[in-house]
Amino acid sequence: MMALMVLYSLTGLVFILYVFLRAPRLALAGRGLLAISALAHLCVIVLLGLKMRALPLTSLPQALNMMVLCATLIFIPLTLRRKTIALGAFYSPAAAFILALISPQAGLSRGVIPPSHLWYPLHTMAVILGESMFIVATVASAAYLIHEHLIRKGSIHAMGEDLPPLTILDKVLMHSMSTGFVAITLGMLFGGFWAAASGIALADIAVKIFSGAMTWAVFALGIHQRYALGWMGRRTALITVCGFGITVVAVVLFWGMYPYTPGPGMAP
Amino acid sequence: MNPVGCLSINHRVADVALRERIDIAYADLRALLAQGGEAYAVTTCNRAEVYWVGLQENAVIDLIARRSGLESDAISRVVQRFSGPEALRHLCLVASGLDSLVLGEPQILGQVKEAYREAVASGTTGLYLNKALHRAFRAAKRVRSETDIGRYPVSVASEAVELAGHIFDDIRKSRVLVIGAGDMGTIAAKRLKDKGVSELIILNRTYANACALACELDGTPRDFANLKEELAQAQIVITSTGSKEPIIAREMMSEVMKLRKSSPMIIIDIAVPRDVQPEVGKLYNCYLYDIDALKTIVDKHFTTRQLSLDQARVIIDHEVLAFEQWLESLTVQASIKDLYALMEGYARDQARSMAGSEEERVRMEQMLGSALKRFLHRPVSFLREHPSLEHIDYTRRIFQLDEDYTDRHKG
Repeated sequence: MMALMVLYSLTGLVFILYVFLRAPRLALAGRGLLAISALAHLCVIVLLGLKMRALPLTSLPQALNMMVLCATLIFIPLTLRRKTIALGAFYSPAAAFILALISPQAGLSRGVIPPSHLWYPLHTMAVILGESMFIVATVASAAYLIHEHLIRKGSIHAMGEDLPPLTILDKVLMHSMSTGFVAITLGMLFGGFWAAASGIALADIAVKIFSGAMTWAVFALGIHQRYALGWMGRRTALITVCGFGITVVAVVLFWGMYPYTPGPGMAP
Repeated sequence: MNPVGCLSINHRVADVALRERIDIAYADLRALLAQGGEAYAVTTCNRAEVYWVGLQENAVIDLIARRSGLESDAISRVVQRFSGPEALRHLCLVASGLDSLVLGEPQILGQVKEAYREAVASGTTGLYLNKALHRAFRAAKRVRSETDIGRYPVSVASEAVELAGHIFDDIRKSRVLVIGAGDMGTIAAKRLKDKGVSELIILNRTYANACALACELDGTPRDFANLKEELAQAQIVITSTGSKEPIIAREMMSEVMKLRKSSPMIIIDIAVPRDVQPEVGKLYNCYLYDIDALKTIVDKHFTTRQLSLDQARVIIDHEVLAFEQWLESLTVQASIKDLYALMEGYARDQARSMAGSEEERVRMEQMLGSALKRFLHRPVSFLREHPSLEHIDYTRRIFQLDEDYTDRHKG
C-alpha cells in the first residue's frame, strides 16, 4: 500500500513537472507511471481479496481504495488526450493523499457480506462508480477554478499554458456529474433494497447514508443549476469542490462509526 | 580563416526613409560574381543585408548604391560591417530574430530562408555560404526550441488569440464578432482567421465599412443595430471603434448573458477610449480584457524574452565555433586524417561485435583495418592529387565526416 502511495506521488510529481516544463518526455513518463500505478493498484486489490477470500469491500478504507482505482481507470484515457493531460497533475497527488489516509486500515476486514444479499453487489458497484465520478468531478472543478483564476489575472503562462481549456474542463465536470448522478441514484435505491432485505437499522448506516446523500445532493444541485439557471463553469465547480470537502470532513469525523457489514458476528 | 563578409543596413542604423529605398537584386549579384565568389542577400522592411565570400566591400556598396539611386558615401556612412566569425554570428542573430525590432519574432527566419531559396535558384551561393546559412538555420531552430525567446506572444493580437484558446476548446468552431474597423482589431481578427475561425461577423456603424472589412477578412457584415443579438451569439468579441462613449454597457451585457444562459465569452476591447464598461468583466463567465490588461501581459513576455537572451547567445556561439571548426577541417590533410579515424572506428566496432575472445578481436581489428586502408588508398590518392575545396567538401559529405552534417540527415 505504501509502495502504491509512493507510485501515485511520483506520477503526480512527473505530471506537475510537465505542466511547468512542458517537456514531451515528462508527458510520456507521467502516462506510463499512471498506467503502472493502475496495474499495481489492481494487483494490490486482487491480493487483498485472495487473502480475505472475499471482495475487499468490507470497510470504508477498502471502499475508498476501490474508488481510487476506479477513478484512476477513468483518468488514464483523459491523460492520453493532449488537452486534458494536465489533469494528471491534479488527480495523482489526490489519489496519493487518499491512499495515505486509508493505508493503515486498508487490510483490515470488518466481516464479510453473505452472498445471499443480491442487492449488495449492485449497490456497491453503483456507489463506487458514482463516488469515483465525484472524485473526477472534483479534480476537474479544482483545475477549472485554478485555470479560470489564472485567465482572469492574465497569468496563463505562469502554469496554465497546458491546463485544459475551460470549456473542456466544464465538459468533463458535467459528464462526470451526469454519470455519477445516475450511478449514485441507483446505488442508493439498491442500498435501500439491501438494507430492507437484511433488516438493517438505519441508525447503523447513518454515516454511510449521509456520504451517499451528500454526493447525490451535490450532483443534483449542480445538474439542476446548470440546466435551469445556466450555471456553467465556476459556480458548478465551486459547489462540487465544497460538496466534496464536506463529504471528506464528515467521513473523517465519523470514521469509526462507518460500518459496512452490520449484524451479528461482525469483526471489530 | 573565415572568409565571410557582411554589410547590414538595418533599423538600428538607418531610418525607414533610407531602408525603404534599398533594394538588392540577385541578377546584379550574379553579375558581380562573374569573376568568382559567393553572395547572399536578404531584404525585409527592417533590414537589407548582403553576405559574401571573395568580393570587395566597395563593390558591394557600389552595387547597393547604384540599385537604390543613392551615393555610395551615403550607404557607406550608415552600413554596419562584419567579417569572419562576426559575420556568421550576425547572420545567426538575424535568423533567430534576436536582431529584430520585436525581439525573437519568428517571421524573419522565413524571410531568411526564402532569400536563401532565391540565392540557390540564382546560383550565387557556394560551399561557404551554404554551410554558413545552414548553421544559421540550425542556430535559429535551437534558439526557438531550447529557450523561451519565442514561447510567449509579444503582440496584443497574438495574446488575444492565445487567451481565447484557454477558454474555448476549439476556437475554429467559435463565432467571432468584430466591432469597428480599427487597425489592431483588424489584425486580431486576421490572426483568428489564420487560426481557422470560420464564422466571422463584422459590425460597424457605417455598413459600407463593415462590408469592406468583411470582404477583406472573408466575413459576414451585419447592421450595427443588431449588436445585442450578435453579442448573444458570439464566443469571441473584438471591439475597436472610435466611439467616445462605451458602446457595451453592463446593463446590456447582463441581458446578453441571460440570453446566452451564461455560456462563456471573451471580449477583447482594443479601443481607446474603451468600448466596453469595465464592470462588464465582473459578469459571470464574461472575460474582458482591455488594451492595458493585454499590454501588461505582453510586457511580462518581453521581460521573459530578454532573460532568455544570454541562453540564446551561448547557442549562437556554439554554432559559430562549429562553423570555424568546419573551416579548419577543409584541408586535405585534415580530411584524410578524419577519414582514417572513421575507418579505424568502424573496424574497432565491427571487431568488438563479432569477436569471441580478446585475441580474436585484436586479429579481426587488424584485418579489417588493413582492408579498409586498402579500400581508402585510391580515394585518398585522388584527393592528394586534386586538393580542391570542392573535392574535399564532397569527400566530407560522402563519408559524413562532419558531425553536424550527419545530424542534419538524421533529423
